[in-house]
Formats: sequence, structure tokens, C-alpha cells
Amino acid sequence: MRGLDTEPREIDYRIRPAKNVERKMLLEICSRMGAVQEMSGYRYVGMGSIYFVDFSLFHRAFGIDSMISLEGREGLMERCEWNRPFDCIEVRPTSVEAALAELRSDVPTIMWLDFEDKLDSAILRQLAEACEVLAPRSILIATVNATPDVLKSRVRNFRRRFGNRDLANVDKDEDLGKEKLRKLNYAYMRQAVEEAVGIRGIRDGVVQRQLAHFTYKDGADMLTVAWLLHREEEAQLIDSCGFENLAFAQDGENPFNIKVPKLTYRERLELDRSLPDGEIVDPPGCIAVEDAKAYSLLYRQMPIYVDAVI
Amino acid sequence: MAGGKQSLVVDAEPTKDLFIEMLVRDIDLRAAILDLVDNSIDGARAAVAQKSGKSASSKTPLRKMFLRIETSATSLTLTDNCGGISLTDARRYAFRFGAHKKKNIENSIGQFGVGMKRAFFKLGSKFEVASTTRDSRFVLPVDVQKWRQNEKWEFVLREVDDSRQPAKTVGTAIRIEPLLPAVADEIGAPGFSTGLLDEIVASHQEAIDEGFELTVDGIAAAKMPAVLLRSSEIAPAKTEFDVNGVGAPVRVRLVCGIGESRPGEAGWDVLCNGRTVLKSDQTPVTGWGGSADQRLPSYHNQFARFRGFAYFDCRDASRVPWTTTKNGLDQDSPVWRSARQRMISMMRPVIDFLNELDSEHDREGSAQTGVTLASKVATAKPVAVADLSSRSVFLYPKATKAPRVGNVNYSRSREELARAKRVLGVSSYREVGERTFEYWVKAELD
Repeated sequence: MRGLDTEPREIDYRIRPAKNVERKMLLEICSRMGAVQEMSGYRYVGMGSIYFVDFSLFHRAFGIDSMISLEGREGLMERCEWNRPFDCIEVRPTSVEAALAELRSDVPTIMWLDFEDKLDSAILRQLAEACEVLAPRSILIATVNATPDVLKSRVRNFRRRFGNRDLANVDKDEDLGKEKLRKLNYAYMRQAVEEAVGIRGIRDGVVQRQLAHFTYKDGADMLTVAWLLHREEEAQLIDSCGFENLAFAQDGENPFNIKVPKLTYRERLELDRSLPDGEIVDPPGCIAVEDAKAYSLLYRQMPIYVDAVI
Repeated sequence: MAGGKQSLVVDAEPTKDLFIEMLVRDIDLRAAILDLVDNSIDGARAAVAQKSGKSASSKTPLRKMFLRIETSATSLTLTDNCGGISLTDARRYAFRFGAHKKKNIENSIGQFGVGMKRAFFKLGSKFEVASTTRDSRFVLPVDVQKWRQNEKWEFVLREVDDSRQPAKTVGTAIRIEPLLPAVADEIGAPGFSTGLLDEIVASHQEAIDEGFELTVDGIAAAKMPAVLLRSSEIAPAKTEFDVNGVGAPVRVRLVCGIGESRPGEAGWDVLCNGRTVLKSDQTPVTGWGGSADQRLPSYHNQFARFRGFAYFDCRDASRVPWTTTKNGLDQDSPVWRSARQRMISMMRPVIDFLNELDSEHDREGSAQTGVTLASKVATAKPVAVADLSSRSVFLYPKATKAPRVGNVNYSRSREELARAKRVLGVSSYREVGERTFEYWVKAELD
């Protein structure tokens, strides 16, 4: 793949509503660390492609001025370099795998490994390595594509991605349906992080806690999990950040599903008038109750798109 | 049986024959001698530490400490100046079977309290230990045959003297004579002394590098301090940390980078309390490919420059990651597993660099612009591991990517080209092409 891609495969993230919401929710989760750590002192590491949407967001919100975008596609390098929205963004012409060891730093880092690809053992190794190199108080975010393969090739592809893992549990294509696959993906990522941090912790007392677990669908089924690494003795201090006060911050195996309802602006404005208090039992107009409920969970983050002539 | 109220005591005392047999069964001759060497080096570290008033560590300079081993067809003698065995230690520890728990020499390599006795029984039918400390001296002569026959489990120290002794006399002299027949054959065989020396050096290079003088039949072990290449653009990764847990913390030092290209020396050396337990390892044990976690490629000769050193030191010898035989690595040790994860992370940039160096080598012949990586490696200087400063990630120069070029090719009449050559003041068609193109670029593009 390297060197051949001259077009980004990914879609323009700026206009994908669920991704947009996820980004803002993650931003909000990260901002909770501000109670114990100056946010502008964080380093941001991501995969900015040519859009750098997350970079812009984190720079504008926190004033982070140490930002590194990993770009393994040689053919895209020039364009990525040209599209950097801020001077503080460094584009590194290297794959995530090759970059991680050299990203070891004492500076707390927000690292978003925002993969387009489906989870495989290589990505799991990268998560483990990230857990090894990130400083305490860092936040590691991983996004993977969790869409089931076409029915007939599921087991074959699974074996290609994970070798002989879970031989007994995964032997029929039906074992890799949407929900089962999501659970497996989550369990694998969680285990990779728990193991790597566990082994590291023997050395330096670093532990992890899960901060987020999102699923959403902007076309493909996506899965995002975020973890905080911190020193064990700081557990109480970290508690004071109050991550659990955010309804969308999930620390367990049940994901928060980001479902963006289809609503007109008029409908939104009308719903907004009864938020945040109370449940919307009797939504105005012809709005379905479930749409109104979904909206109430993410009305703060949901984008408003306007066609502007620039 | 009627009544059944009577008791009968069965004599369950082990016979000495059985005991000796069990003790020496699983150890070979050289390993038995190595146990004695371990004792001397432990003693040397303890003696030096006592003198300098701080706790012993493998950084302790062992200058002026020595162990001389002499072999003959009938005898083996080991003479050292490594502090000697005190009367208390002799009574409570050195000649008891199974060491007294409390007496553990800090940062020691011998921890199980059987080595010395086992070596004696393995090697000879008579032995004598003469030991002098600053405060006492004694001699222990043992005739193994007589000792076997004696029912009592005891040794008798002779010439016991608990007055102040001159510093020059401090040390231990062990004489094993006569040797058991099989042992005599092996020790008398040609090449035994050099083989033994090699084996000792393989385990104790660290102590030797710290100045410990070791000779076998007059041949001295050579210092070969670990070195890595360093320059302004190349610098090894070096990190130190303590692993806490139950008991004393384990000090871990990890160093890795590049050295001379020697396949036999490439890989990781692992040392526990100064003793080498793994030498030039190129297997999944130290993270090379083939392991389940597959984070790195398998060893291949393009990595012949790779050097890594992992040092584990602890006052409590049971916490460093070695096996109970002290000559192997305990891969299940949590301390080891945690260090290994860090080692793998440290190796990655070195591997990346060596891969680039290798692909540069493959490209040789094609146009090379700028300074090559190979020339940068050539100008790096060897630096002793102890003199390296800390840095968390291996520093290396990135390959300067040659700008991608294309060729322009066209034909013009010779008369035209000759005129152009004259006007441009050049002597080849190639230069005509280059100059005219540059002229156009300057006029239209710049």
C-alpha cells in the first residue's frame, strides 16, 4: 500500500455527523483531565490525513501546540504537508507501527489511533506498544472499522487477521455477525491494553482506566475505545475529574451508541427548548419519540450543517 | 496386630552416602568449579563494599581483588583475597547444608548455600579450606571417606584463631587433593584450563571488566568492557529504573544500540547481579521475531550490529530473574516480563535503522547523493556502556531520500548542437541539454 496511495481513501470526515459527534464527545472527555493537568501542555498524536479535523479541534479547544500527524502513505505526504492548518503540526512520513517506539516521551499525550481498517493482530500490537510508550496521564483512543465481512468470507478473513485466536469460539461465519464481532473486537482491544499496561505497571506502577466506548455508523460500523493511563497512586486525584458525570463516558463493555437522528432545523430548535431537563415524552409535531430521545443524548454535540459560499 | 498401642521409631536420618550422591548428581565438573568462583566474586564484592561503606553493586570496582585457579593431574587449588570466611559464617552458614536464611550476601550470585560443599564432594576425596579474615582464621581439612563413616553431621575447624590478622593474609585458599579419578582425567586433559577460563569469563565478564583479576593456570582473563557506537547523530538508548515489589527493589538498566558488525556478538546480553545469564541472545526470549507477540523481525545477519545489555541488580538475590541454577534466565519472572516489554520497544528504532542501512547497501551502485548512513556509522566511536548518558530512544540519522528524478531525451541536428555548445561554452551534448533546460526554468518557472 505504501507509496501507492495518492488519494485518501477515507471520506471527508467533516461532514459525517456521527464522527463529528464522537470527536466532540472525546474532546469533552479529554477536557476533564484539565482538573489535574494543564491541557495546553498535552501533546497530540493522530492520523490527520489531509483534513486534520481532529487536530484543528484539539488545537482550538486546548491550545495544544505540540501535534504530530502520522502518515504512512508516501504518495500523500506532500498534500498532507501542504494542508497542515497550523504551523505546530508536524507530519511524520511513517506508519503508526514504525512511529510508536520513537514517540516515547515524558509529556502526557492524547493519542488517537483512528484506523479506517478492521482490527487485526498488527493493530493490537500497536495498541500494546502505545501503552508502553505513553507517559502517565496520557489518553489513548483507538478507532477501528467493526463492519462484518460478507457472510461467506468471515471466518477466513478472521483467521487472516488473528491467526488461531479463539479457534473454539469462532468457527462459523455466523459467529462473526455485527454484535458478536463488536464484542470480540472490544474484548481483544481491551485485553491488549490491559496486558500491556499490566506488564508495564510492574515497572512503574502505571495502571489504566477505560474512559469511553463508542459505536456509531456513518456508513461503516465503527468502534472507538479510549483509555487513560495514570499512576496507581493518583487514582483518587483522577477520580476527582468526574469522568462518570458524562453520560456518554462508558467505562465498561456496553458501548454508548452514537445515533444521530434525522431532524430538520425547526424540529431541533423546538426540541432544544425543552432540553436539557426532563424526558421528552410527547415530542412536538410529527417527531418520533425515539428520535427525540436520541437527540436528547447528543444535542450539544450534534452539528448544524449550512451550505456556505466562501 | 494385637493391642496396637506401642510405638516404634524408624530411623529416617539420611545416610551421608545417599546425601552426597544426591547432591552431586546433577552438576557437572565445570559448574561445580564455577560455584566456587561465584563464592569468591561474592566475597570480593562484599569486601569492597564494606571497605567503601556502601552497599555492593555490580558497579563496584573490584580492582586488586583476585582469584587464582591452579590445576594439576592430582589437585585443584583456588586462592583468593576476597575477604575470607569469618568464624561465625563458617559455623552458621558456609559449612551448613542449605544456607541460613538470614545470611544472604547483598547482590550475591550464590544464594542457595550448597555450592561450596557440593563442589568439594563432586571433585575430590580430600579437601582443605584455609580462610583468614581481619578478625579470625581457621583451617578445615576434610577426608571425605572418613567423614562419610562418621555418624555425626559435623565438620571440625582447626587452627582456630580469633585475633586480629594482617590485611595481607586475608582470603581463602581451597585445596582439593587427591581428585576423584574421573575428575582427574578430565582436569588433566589438554585444553581444560582454557576451556574453564572461557566458561568463567562467559559468566563473569562484568566482574572482570570491573578489575577482578582471574587466572587459570597462569592465564589471565582479559577485560572486554561492553561498548556501543556513538556520534553526534548516533546514540544508544539507555534507561534505568527500579522495580518495586516484595522486598528490596530490583535495579534494572537497559542499554541498546549498534556495535561492530559481528553476527556472533549481536543480540541481548542479560546479566543478573553481574553474572551473565544470557549471552548474545537472538531468539524470541529477548523479543526477536518468532514469538507469539511478533513485534519484531526474526534475527538475521543484517542485524549483526545490534547490541543490547540488560542488567538486573538486587540486594536480594532471589528477586533477579534467574533460574535456581543461576545460569539461566527465569522467563516467567514478572521483573523480566516487564523489562522485556521495554526492551522490545527500545529495539525497534535500532532495527529500523539497521534495515535502512541494509537497504542503502542494496542500492549501492545507483546514484547516491549526500553522505551515506554507512559513512555516518563509520565515524561513530565506541563508548563503554557505563559512560553512556541516558536517553529514552535510540538516536539515528534518517536516510536522505534522493529526490526522485526523470529523464528528458530528445534529438537535434549536430550543427544546431555544435552552435549551442559554442555559445554555452560547454563540451558535451548532455551539458547542452542541462543548460538549456536550466535556462528555460529560470526564465519561465522561477
